[in-house]
Amino acid sequence: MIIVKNLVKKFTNGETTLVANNNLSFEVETGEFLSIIGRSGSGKSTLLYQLGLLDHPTSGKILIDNVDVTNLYADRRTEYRLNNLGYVFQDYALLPTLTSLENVSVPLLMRGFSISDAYKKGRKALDKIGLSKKYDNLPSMLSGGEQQRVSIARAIVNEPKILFADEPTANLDSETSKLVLDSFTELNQNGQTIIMVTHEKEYAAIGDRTLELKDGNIVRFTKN
Amino acid sequence: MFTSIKVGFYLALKDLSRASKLTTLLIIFIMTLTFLNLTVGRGILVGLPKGSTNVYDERYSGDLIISKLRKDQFVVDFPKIENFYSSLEGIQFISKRYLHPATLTAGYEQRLRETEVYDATGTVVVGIDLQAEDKVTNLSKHIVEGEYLDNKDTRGVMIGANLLFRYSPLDSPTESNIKNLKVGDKVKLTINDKDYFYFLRGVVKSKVSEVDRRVYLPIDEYKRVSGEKDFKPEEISFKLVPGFVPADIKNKFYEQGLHKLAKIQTAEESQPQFLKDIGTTFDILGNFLGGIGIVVASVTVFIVVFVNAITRRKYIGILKAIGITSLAIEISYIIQAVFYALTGSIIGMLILYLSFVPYFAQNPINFPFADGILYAPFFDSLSRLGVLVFSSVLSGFIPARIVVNQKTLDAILGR
Ligand SMILES: Nc1ncnc2c1ncn2[C@@H]1O[C@H](COP(=O)(O)OP(=O)(O)O)[C@@H](O)[C@H]1O
Ligand SMILES: [Mg+2]
Repeated sequence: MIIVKNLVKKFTNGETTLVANNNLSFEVETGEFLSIIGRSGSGKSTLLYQLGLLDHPTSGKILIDNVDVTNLYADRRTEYRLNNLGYVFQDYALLPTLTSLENVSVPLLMRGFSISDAYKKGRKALDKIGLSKKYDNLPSMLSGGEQQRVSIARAIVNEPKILFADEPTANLDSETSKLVLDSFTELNQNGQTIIMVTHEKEYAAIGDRTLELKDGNIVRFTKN
Repeated sequence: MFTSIKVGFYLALKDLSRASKLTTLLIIFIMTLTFLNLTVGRGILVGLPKGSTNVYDERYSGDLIISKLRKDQFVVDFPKIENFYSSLEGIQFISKRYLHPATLTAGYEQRLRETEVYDATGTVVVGIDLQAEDKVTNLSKHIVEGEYLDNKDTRGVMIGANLLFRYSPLDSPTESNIKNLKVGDKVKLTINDKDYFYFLRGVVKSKVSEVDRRVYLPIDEYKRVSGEKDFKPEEISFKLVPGFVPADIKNKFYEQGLHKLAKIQTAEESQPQFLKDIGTTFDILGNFLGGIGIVVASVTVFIVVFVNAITRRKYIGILKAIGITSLAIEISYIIQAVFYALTGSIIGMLILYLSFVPYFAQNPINFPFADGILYAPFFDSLSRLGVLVFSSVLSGFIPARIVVNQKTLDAILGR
């Protein structure tokens, strides 16, 4: 379970201060699929980065499974991300010098798996999202949808507590988007906690609940 | 820690194997140049005095030289010394040299007026067994005009090139070299105020001033004209059997107390002070150059890694985001830097030993007092390779660290 308490994120630029997340408090259940929507600039990404331990809040608290993760040291955060969190970025964020299989296997190697064990698990993760024929392709030889699915495979390969996705379909056509969203649905059905940012109401609807942001404030938090 | 090293290796290997071949080759090429810069520049500088040492012991002193004490006219107790060394193990060839001051005059027949100055120069006449001398100092290889003198020749003489104005343009009020003399001409040699006449058979040029300012006569002819009652050499040069160390042999003479009777020196010790000074100076200069080379190498590696890391800033951010430790990422860059430095150095080594060193051995650089070689002993080069690799670890680590330490999110988002 994720508990967010009075989360504030301010950006100060000289004289002006921008409140990107204004005193947010909410909870996400384990196994839940949460969609975050809102217009561009409403503070969705900012919130996700803090939940994903990629950024520090200005004030407030984040607890994951009753552990306060708000102010971990950099090295502990990296370790926590490795063991507990998975990310899918809008632009896929694959490593260009690594093949699909290698991209997926790197987090496993970091967890101490041997190369052959890592590759075995990596192949399974790629199989799961329908990329069994593309193990050895470099990202440059994959379509956008395929790249995004490799990035999903990489995000789930360590069986994270939470899978974060920031507008994972923004660069994809609607057909490919469907495919990617289907993977999320399937993962969630198998118990994966997911927090996904999107600005399409239609896509948000596949989640269990939708949290809507406007100018850094929660304006709606509803069941789908 | 161990996992970080493993992942660092993994990432480095993948990066290296998939990097642009052209870029990789270019970086390795630069590292090769850097390595050569470290070894060749210094090697030539240091090779100059080394070359002069070689010239000196190969063409004059031999491995060991015994010469008269300053107070004596020749090696006074020569029989005692000869007695000792004739039973000594490790000596291959010996040349005894008998010396006497003399004046060499050319063109004396052409002098028209009594007041006209003779074309003459002061010199030292040396009596040697030409065969024995050749075995110790290869003198016959350094004939630049005419031919090497024969032991049986009673009418011929051989002179050093530096007695001739065309090789050594010396012309001062107190001393001048001979201006007009060629092989086949008749010369006058004045010893103890008596004149002897010879034909010039050959001119020797060895780059050792002792050799190049002397006049050579076969030993029998020398005995006839020198008029010495007490016939003893002033110098004895030894060539040792390969494998014997000159200093060891020298010590044997010392153990017998023979150093009280004559000066006993290894080739190195007998070198003129100016050569030793040049050697020291060039060594310092060489090390200074080498030091600059190391700095240049470090900066090169720094720039290569920094550019490499900064252009991959986003991917470094991604690696950190997915939980790869900073150490693993830093190690991957250090390994790449070491790979470039090591490959570049090894190629440099091959070029050095398969091309440069043999080339300079075949075609020494022509200096007035030496044949400049490229001095690059293998372990010296190996230690330079070590220094280069070590400095590449440091100068790879620093820029990698700078980039890796940036905020993960800023790196990913390119802010
Ligand atoms: N690093 C930053 N510095 C200054 N302002 C920022 C920074 N990151 C985001 N913002 C601002 O915070 C607001 C929320 O941004 P963001 O969370 O990216 O919005 P969304 O993802 O909903 O489009 C925007 O006004 C954006 O300009
Ligand atoms: Mg956003």
